[in-house]
Amino acid sequence: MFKAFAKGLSITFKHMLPGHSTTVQYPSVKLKPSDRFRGLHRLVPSQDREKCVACYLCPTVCPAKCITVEAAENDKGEKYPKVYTIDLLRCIFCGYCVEACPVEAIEMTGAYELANYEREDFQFTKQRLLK
Amino acid sequence: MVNLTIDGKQVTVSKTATIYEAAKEVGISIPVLCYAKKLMPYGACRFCLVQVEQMKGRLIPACTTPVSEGMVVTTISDEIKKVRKTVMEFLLVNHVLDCPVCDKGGECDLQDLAYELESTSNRFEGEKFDLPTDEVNPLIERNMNRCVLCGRCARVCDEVVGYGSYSFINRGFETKIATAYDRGLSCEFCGQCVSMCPVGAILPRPFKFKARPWQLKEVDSVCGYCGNGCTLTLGVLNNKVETIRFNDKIGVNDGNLCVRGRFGYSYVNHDERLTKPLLRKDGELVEAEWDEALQVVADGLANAQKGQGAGILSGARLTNEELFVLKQFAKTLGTQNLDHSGGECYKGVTEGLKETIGISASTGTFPQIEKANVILAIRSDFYETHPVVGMVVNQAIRRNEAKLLVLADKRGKLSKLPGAKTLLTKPGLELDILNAMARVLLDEGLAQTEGVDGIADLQAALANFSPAQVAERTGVSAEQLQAAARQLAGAKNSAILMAYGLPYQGLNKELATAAANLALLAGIPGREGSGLYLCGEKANSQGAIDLGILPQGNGMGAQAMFTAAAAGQLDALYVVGEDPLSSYPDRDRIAKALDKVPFLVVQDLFLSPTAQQADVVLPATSFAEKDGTFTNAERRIQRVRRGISSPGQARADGAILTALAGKLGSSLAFTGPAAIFAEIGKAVPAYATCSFNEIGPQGVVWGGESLQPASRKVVAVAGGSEVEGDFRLVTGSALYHSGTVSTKAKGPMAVLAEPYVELSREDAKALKVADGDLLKVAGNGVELKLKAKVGNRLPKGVLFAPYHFAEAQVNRLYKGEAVIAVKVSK
Amino acid sequence: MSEAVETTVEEQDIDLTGANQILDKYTDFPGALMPVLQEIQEFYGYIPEPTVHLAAERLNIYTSQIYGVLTFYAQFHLEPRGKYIIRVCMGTACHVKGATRIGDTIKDRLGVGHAETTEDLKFTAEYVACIGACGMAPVIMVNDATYGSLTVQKTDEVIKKYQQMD
Repeated sequence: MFKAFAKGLSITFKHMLPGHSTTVQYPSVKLKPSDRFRGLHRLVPSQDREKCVACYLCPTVCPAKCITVEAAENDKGEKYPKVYTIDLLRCIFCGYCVEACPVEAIEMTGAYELANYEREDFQFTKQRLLK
Repeated sequence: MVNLTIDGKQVTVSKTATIYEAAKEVGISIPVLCYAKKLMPYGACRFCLVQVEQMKGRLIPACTTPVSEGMVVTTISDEIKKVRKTVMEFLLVNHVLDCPVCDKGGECDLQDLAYELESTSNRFEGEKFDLPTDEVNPLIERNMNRCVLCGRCARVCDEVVGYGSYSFINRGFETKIATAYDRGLSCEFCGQCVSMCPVGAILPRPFKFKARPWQLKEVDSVCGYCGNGCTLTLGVLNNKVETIRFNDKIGVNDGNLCVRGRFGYSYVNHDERLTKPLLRKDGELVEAEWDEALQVVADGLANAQKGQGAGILSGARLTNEELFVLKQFAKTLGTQNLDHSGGECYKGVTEGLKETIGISASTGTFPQIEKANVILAIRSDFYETHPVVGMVVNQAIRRNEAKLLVLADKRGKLSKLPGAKTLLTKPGLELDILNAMARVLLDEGLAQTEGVDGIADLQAALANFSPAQVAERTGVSAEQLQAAARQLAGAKNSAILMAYGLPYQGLNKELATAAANLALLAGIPGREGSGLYLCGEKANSQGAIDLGILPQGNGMGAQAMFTAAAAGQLDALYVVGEDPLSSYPDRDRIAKALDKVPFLVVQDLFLSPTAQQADVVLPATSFAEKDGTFTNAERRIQRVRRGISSPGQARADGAILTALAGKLGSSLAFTGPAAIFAEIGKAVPAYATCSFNEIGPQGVVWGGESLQPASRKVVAVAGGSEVEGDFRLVTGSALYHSGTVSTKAKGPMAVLAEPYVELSREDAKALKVADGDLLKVAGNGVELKLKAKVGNRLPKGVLFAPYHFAEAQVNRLYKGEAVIAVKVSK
Repeated sequence: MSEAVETTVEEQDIDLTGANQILDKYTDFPGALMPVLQEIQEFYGYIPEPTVHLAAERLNIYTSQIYGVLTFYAQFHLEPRGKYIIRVCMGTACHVKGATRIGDTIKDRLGVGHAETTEDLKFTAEYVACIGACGMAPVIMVNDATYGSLTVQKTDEVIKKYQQMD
């Protein structure tokens, strides 16, 4: 019994040693989330425009109804999103938008520091999402 | 009837049905691309293949195979599924998969089918089409890379519209749908091909990239343009009418629409819509609050009533409920001076038909026209004033081999229909032809004279209308006349069609009477399947007549009001939804009247030329912004539904009128369309047949499918008189427009943006004018400059000018005559 | 708009008398489109656009449908054709014996490839599948005359012969 006790404590004490802690000293140290983490969205750019073709599938599939898209025609006669806004206050980070996208124009990044002071700052416009 | 078994279910259908239709009857849906309810079976897509026990060894196309007794049909099996999937693979070899950017995505038949068949991969490879898109015109965009060659566009354009824009060209892999010489589309832009295309190959350009179909709110309503009363479905997004949706499930128009219905909606969203009341202060119209404006109007009208009186003039695009309130308002105000639509053009119905058949409405319904054997169209522009009835005529000819007779002073689209016989008369002499036809019926003993009064008088009056005499006067040969009369009398079912409205000024009563005479002699009114149709120009022309928006008692009509106003004998004029200055005959007199009348109120959507003269302008609402009912030219009462809210502070006519009545101390209230409709029923018995909420998707026809005439009396009509002069001008309606409001709509304006005067090639050659040259047209002491349009529709010496364009001031030329002698020079 | 079509009838400088005479024969004659088009082609050498619009108007058939027929059949030509039509056989036998070279020679000397016509409207080249003279491969036909066992030199001679004729 003592043996098992010692083994348990040794694990506990081992974690107290430098380099063995799972606690991260946030914000001075930041965790890198896994590749599959669903953080802030990003619109993928292509050569001279966004990859998005404004097909309206993401606002349709979005369960939180947080995506606003307005399509328009550009000079080349292509369909593009004149407006593409995600209201992060409503977003539930389910990733359905990414799944629905037929052209892989939207992805979710590892960015998780999304706190802000103003409500407006949670409106992620096309320009912000393209960064 | 034929009995057959489909997937184990017993079906009994008529022997003309196809397997597809029979299956549909028992709720079995067979996938199709090229089939459309209103088109002839075609069998191009091969999706509808089924197995038939009796025809072993191959699969049978369900949409083209007629049923036969004892047939045993299997609509789904592994083999069928495999074949259908292969067909899909073949189609997808060339079809570009640009669904994300294709506006059809979400309501695309091909997409739905691919989903249903679970087509995820393709065993075949081939080149995707890379054809240029047709973006020449502003209304219809064609992207032939998405085409599946079902031929629905080409077929609807031929079978229904009768224009024939498209055809298959080339062959083999290069086959495609194209216009003649593969040029940009240049047609009448009814958009029927848009509604028929099962994929995204033909799309409405104004709606391009605007929304996905599932985002749109669909509101079923009635088109606000002509008296045809087509059902249309507004596609509303964010309180804006973005498009008109194809809908063949409700209404009587089978989903058919013309350019105005499909593309003419945009005036509703126009920037120039009035949003606030305007009051004239120091000579300028300035924005005011409703309360102030209404007080000024109420005081002004009340004062006028104390003086020489006020007059109320209405348009025919108000709902029945609003017209009813308007009539009540006139009573409240105490004026008998009430009228609509210029006071002349509808007299064919209120007087012509009233005196002969005792009713003031068409006797049949539009679906009966399709079944008619002989159709007589008076004035060729019928296809242009009421395009969708024109389509019905076209279908009657193509499907039921109806014979079409056109009595007109110019050729039109009707004359081009297969087998159409045009009795081309000199302008103003249509009456003589109708009289002569009546005489032929009487002389040859073909007439049904039993129970018809006035035969002897008519016979006496027709002494000078023998075919030979009339032939000499009109230029239509006696043989043609006789043949036409015999055809009409000999037909099992016949229809006589005539349009009326502001474009046609003179001879309305006379023509309607002569037409009714002929109809009575041919036994048409009241006969099941036959009908005499007088179709109004505006959406609710019939409603205005039914509700009696006419001079009350000794009151003045529209023309009398203007005469009185010009003479300083009318103190106020309240114009609701009309623009007399632009659309009534004798503009100069109207201008004088509007100038002289001390108090003018205009209630309209736009600051029309009339409104610019007003003391108070009240912003009203369009058809898309109100609830109520319209009565179309076949007496069908249909629901108009509110799709969007009104811009700014604009209010519905009914609300404005009741608010005004309130200011005058009356308790008249707009209690909602249902309650008012019930009130209408009390005043107009014909409208008591149903309650507001009982009006279904097909509407309610008051008086029944075949309205029995209240009397049968032929009334002699004098012939027309020929107008002397080198050139004779007739006015009318151009296909792309209706009234003056369509000049505010992008669709019709994109197709026809300018006023013009049309002349024949011969005349053009003699005058040395080419298309687009400016022509001086002088008549009635007025000279106008109009752009020339050279065509082959008109006979020599006849000119035609559409009346829609306010800036052209064509209505200065005519003062109420049917034909005007004019001088033309370059 | 049909009006636009009508003006093209006026604008193009084609004498329509011939077409009108042909059409006169076929008024009220159902199904007359093919013979009408064939006769028009015989008369004009090809089918000029104004005659198509005229036929559409007089036979009451849509212009688009006539155009569909014209593009479906290889026998109809919408462009003016040369006086001498050189049919270059591209069948199997001729191909093996170097028909491509013959085609290239014609293209080099006259500047016309398949379905093209010289500017002076003298020659039209046409590559055809087989003219049934495989024994003489490679072979060409100029109008009704056949020239077989060709080489580049022999082709040159044939071309020169027709160039000298008018």
